[in-house]
Amino acid sequence: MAYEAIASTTLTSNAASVSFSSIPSTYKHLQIRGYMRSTSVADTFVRTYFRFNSDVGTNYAEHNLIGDGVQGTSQRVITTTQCCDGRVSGGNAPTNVFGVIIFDLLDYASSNKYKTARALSGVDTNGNGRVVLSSGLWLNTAAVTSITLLLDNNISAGSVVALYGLKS
Amino acid sequence: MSAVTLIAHTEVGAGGAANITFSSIPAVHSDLWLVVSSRSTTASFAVLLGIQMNTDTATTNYSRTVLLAQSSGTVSSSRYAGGSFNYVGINSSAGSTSTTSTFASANVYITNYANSTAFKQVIGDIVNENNSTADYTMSLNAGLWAQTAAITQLVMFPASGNFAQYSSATLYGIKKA
Repeated sequence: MAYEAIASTTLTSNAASVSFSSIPSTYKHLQIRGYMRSTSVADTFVRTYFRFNSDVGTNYAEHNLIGDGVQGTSQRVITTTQCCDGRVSGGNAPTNVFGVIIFDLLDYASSNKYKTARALSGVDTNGNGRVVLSSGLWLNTAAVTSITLLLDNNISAGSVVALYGLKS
Repeated sequence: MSAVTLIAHTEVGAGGAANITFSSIPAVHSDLWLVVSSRSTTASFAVLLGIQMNTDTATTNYSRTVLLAQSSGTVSSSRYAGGSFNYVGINSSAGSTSTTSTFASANVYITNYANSTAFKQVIGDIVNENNSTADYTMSLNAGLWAQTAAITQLVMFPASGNFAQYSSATLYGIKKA
């Protein structure tokens, strides 16, 4: 099979983060699919954060293209501690409204490349919403063996995050 | 049977390559899914990525619409009617002045590629990262190949220069139930 499920997490209680570790190097590309909501009651929409191999240093750059139903804007940050600024639901979103993120990491095991991540994310709340194309650069040629996903505040129970591998 | 099948994979070797070609694409799937990691040898941070169908180089048969973010946060949308380019363009691949060891990342979908009664629609998203707040691109693209022939070949290339070593492309077939 070219597209295989590697691991998944369905949160039964709130959690600070979701991590996939000991990722095998036998695939060509990785994809994470998230159905997510934050516990941040002050926010209708929250950003996503990804880190690789537990690297919390300022070794990332990130850019995005955001639509909010009124206009499109683009944000860009370098020398930062995480990447892939997408949008999912915050705790102030209507009950039972979760956001979605589809995250792709190509050539994750290559020792010849810095790692470029790409994500499509968004949430519609019936009268408001966000849709985002986001990217991230991890300035490291090491193979990615773990990925950590965080949100503003904690990740709500009911969130589902799954890791898939694509073969070549 | 798996819904996603690997058709072919290519990684560019030392010396680079003018294009990456997938030929003799079987008509047994419903959709095609291209996953591309690309860097051009051209001295730029952004080089348009082109995709040609079959052996068609006629500019009248290709058109596209793009939503683009670039250049210190500028957001724009453009459309290019037939006659502008002889390929579907995706904005854009990295170039030789991009941050070292950095490659653009793209998903390109071609649905219903093997039908012989309708024109072919291409959609793609691509991010061209750079350790810079000024020099980057990211875009959503829709392209039309205005031919009813089934797609049996895809040729990808940077609009200028060659693919740099370690650029890669993987073609998958997606089957409906």
